[in-house]
Amino acid sequence: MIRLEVPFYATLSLCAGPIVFARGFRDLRTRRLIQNTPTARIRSMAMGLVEVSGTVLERSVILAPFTGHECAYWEVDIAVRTRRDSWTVVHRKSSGNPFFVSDGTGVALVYPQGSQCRTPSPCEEVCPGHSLPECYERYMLEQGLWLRHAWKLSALRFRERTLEEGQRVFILGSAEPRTPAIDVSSPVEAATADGSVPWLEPELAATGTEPAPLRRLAAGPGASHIVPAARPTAVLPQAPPLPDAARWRARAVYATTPHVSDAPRAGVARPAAIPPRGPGRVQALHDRISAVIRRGTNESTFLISAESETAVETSLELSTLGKLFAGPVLTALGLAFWLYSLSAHHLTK
Amino acid sequence: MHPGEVIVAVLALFAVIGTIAYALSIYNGLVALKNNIARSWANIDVLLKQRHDELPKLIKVCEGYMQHERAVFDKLSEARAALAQVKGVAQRADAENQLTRALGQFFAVAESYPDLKANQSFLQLQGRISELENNIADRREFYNDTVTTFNTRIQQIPDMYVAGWLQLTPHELFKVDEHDREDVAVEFKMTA
Repeated sequence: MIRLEVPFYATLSLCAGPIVFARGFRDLRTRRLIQNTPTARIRSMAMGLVEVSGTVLERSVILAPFTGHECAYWEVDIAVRTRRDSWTVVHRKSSGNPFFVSDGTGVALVYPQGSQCRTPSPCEEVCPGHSLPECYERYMLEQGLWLRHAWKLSALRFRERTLEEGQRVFILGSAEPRTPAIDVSSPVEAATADGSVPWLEPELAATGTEPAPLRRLAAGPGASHIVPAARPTAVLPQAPPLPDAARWRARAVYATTPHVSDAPRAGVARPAAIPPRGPGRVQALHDRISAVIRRGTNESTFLISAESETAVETSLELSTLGKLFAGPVLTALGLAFWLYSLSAHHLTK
Repeated sequence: MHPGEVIVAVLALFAVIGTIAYALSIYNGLVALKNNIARSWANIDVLLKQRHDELPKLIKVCEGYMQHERAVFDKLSEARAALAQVKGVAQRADAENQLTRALGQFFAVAESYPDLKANQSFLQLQGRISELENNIADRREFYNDTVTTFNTRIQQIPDMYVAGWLQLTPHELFKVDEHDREDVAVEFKMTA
């Protein structure tokens, strides 16, 4: 058994070494990008790569799949225990729901699709595969994870990270002008039998929002208002006409003139009042959006972190050093095994 | 070739590649920072242009009400004209500060015209210019942050060697006018 494993790991380390080394430089680049980009104020940030720091504000109330907590964004992963007592992640998923971020001077809408999300303390639970709690069992069933029966043969680790209302975040991403938005009231009436709204789904996909929360909202008794942002310039003309304008009360809201700020003139940011949770808050925040932050097309770095900027930099520095050292060492070890094996084989001949 | 020698050669290759890649990352970082400075300067210009365009509208709205305040109008027009001719960070900063001061005086004088203060167009323009001033202040701070990062980087080891080879020199910060640093005399006249 050992005879088979050693060459396997040697080959693996020989191949992984250069990849780890290259990833070290990628982390170095991200760290440099964070260092070189000063934190901008949301109300006056320029389009392009920006770094902002602010508070998360929910756009749509979603429930984290494992804990059931109300949050603005969630990310989960499932890992199985390997024979060497380490964990291998077998499933990863995030909510993708856009949320607002406010720094007291303005509000930006964040599309978290494609981001690298860092939260300090994930909620984590390890369970034996044969007796999983109902919430995990249900999640795997809903997601259609057909390998779940195989995974249940070993222990499983369920990890959940969330961004909640009021949490401080640091974001490095690409700012784009606020896009025209669709404001749809009472989607319940036009929902099909399964609760979905067919023509709205491409709009939601453009925002990174899945139709599932809409279905839940549409089906729920309290569902009365959902405001998904979209790219109507490209998508709207193709959308079929509204089934009943009176019932739908749908309208396109195009970007208006910038919100006139009442902040003091000395350039000192006065915290703008954030409306309390309740009806009309989403619309009020939508009206104040200065820009949209998302993964850029030219600059793919997109980081959302509940850790401070310094903590992220430190962690990236350690990761860079580790990878730049580990890469050559792994390659050398793999190479050493094969070279000595081949020379020993050659000598015995 | 002995296996040991091959391993040493591979490790040396990693060291060479690592050194070159690190030097390139410093070079690219400095170039990006230099361009960031140009970009943040241009981003201030965008707002200045917007403010510049609002001034004729403001004068047009106000001239009917403030016919006896020729000096204030002249000062505003001079500051606006001076701004169009300047070059360089320091000169631009001076001209900007002059215009900001002239605008401050203009709005202070406008306070004594109740009819003007009730005019919706004036209020909108005042709000718009106020907003632009705030944004300009934010972007100046951002520019200064970018310049500070650049100036720090080109004086740090090992970046200073690459910066020296590229002949990069420290950039000028956008400084506040001496006039704005003067203490404001505030007097409270308390009646007994």
